[in-house]
Amino acid sequence: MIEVRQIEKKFGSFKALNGINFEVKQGEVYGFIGPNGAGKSTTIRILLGIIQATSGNALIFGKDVWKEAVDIHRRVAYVPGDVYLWESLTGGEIIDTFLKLKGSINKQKRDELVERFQLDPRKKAGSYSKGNRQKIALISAFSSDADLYILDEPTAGLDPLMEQIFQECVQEVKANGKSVLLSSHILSEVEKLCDRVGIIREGEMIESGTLDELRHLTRTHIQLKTERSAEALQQLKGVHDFIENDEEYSFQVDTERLAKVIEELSKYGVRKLESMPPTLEALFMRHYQNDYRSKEG
Amino acid sequence: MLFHKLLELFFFKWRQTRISSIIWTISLVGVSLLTASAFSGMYQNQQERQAIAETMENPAMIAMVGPGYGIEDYTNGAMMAHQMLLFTAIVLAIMSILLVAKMTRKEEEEGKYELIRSLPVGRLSGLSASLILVSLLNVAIGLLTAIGLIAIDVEGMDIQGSILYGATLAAAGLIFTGITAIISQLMETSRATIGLSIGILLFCYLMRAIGDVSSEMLSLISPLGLLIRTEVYVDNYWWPIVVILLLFLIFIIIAFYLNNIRDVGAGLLPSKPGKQEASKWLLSPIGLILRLQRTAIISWLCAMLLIGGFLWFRFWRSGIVF
Repeated sequence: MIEVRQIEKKFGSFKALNGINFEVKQGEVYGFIGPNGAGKSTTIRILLGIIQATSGNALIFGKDVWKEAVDIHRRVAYVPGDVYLWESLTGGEIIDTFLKLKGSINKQKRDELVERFQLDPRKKAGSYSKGNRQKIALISAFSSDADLYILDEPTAGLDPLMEQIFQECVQEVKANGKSVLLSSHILSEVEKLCDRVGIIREGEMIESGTLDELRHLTRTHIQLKTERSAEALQQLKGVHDFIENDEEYSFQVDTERLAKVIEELSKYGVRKLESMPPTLEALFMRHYQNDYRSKEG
Repeated sequence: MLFHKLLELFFFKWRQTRISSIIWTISLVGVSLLTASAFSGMYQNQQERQAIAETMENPAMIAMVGPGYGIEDYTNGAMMAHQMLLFTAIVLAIMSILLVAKMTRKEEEEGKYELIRSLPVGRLSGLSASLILVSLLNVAIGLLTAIGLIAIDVEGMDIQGSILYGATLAAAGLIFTGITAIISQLMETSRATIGLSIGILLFCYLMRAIGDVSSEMLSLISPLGLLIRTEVYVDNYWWPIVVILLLFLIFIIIAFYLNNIRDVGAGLLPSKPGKQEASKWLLSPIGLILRLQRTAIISWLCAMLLIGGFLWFRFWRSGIVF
């Protein structure tokens, strides 16, 4: 669906993107995560043919995103993180205008989504809150007949209830074999919805793969109570942040060393063992902190 | 594919600007027609008009409204064209600047255009729809003014002159539609677009003022100077209109070219980064207020100086002051 090869983008002398590579396959939800200013939106704007890459090439449906933008956009739905609308038109008018420019209006689908997102489509756009403006873009996107959904932090400003509905919508389009590129920094959302993720930082892709693959790079958190003192564990390879507190130990283990460490700790007579799976957040924070530390050093 | 969905976008833009367009049309056509009919009542006979003509024949007046033509036989038509045409043309130019900046750069600056461009819409459709709309508005105002002037049939205003009067107004609006279309490709904000375009308009006016007093060539380079060379209701020259329309087409093509090669949201001229820290002066209450009003204060000061200068020059010429 999407193929991005060595995309670079310069703004004057500032290099915003430095060789971005990734691929989104049919029927897949791809999570695109990274801190603010990392280049997520710049990449998405290039994919939409709104700005032109300095070098590299990007294809959607096998077509060039800059030269064949009109053809591509017939089958792509886009939701930005900040939706600005024409103040003098009502929400309903704007949704219809978008759908009409795209092709045809599926009234049944539109009304159903208006109902689910609890939007009052008869208000003027000028009086909508940020969350409501976001809903208008989401309703137009999900009621259009697209094969690819490009969503750039689409839930910014939505309340938890509406976020739930958004997640349902993504799961529905995925079940219909459509593809989704979801840029976000709400990691729980990405974890719940995405098949594969790519992490971007300072214009470079630093990790890419399925969630399981990425989890190998993370640490499992373990909380342990033993019969005998287990202080020796902290000498083991792959054990980090070892803390002893009232005969309870808490530490982190590199995921690839987990089996070895479990084998070892059974020697001390386990009375209680809790383990917390690695989260995307931990992975993200580690990359971010590593960067911070290396900059300091 | 560059112009895909042009018609739909045109009607979408019309939907948002129809009320302001109608207000502009009624006011501009109304003012021209009211003035024309007032002229016929204001001066009863040729002698009174000739007396007015005398007062127009000095450098200050020429600098303000342009060179007098048809002074020897100062009919209602000659008077109307001499005293009203330039200023009405400037108002049409300002209207075009404001509308083009609002429909192109402002939409883009606010992120609305990004949503449009994510739809199957040609890269030039948005700009074309805006330019067609503003151009049609200018033509409509010119046409209605011409029809109105013919209809009220004031003595000394013939049909050919009235048509040329309308065409000159429309041409002034069109040329600044084209200029603003280019400027809005260069600047990143609508504020800067309007600022620079109005600046060019003022520059054109001043160049014509200096040119009309001292050297004809300067006036001919200024679009405003060129347009009053139509000598409406006296000699009715059409060639300035033809030149302006050609320039308009060239400007539009340049604007299309620039629009096609640039990124959405970016201006071709780089914007300078602002100051990182507030100066001590800015942090005082008076400093803050003066800083926020800086542009307004400077522009008012310039306008006042200009008007004062004109008045002083007039009185100085007639020997009232030194």
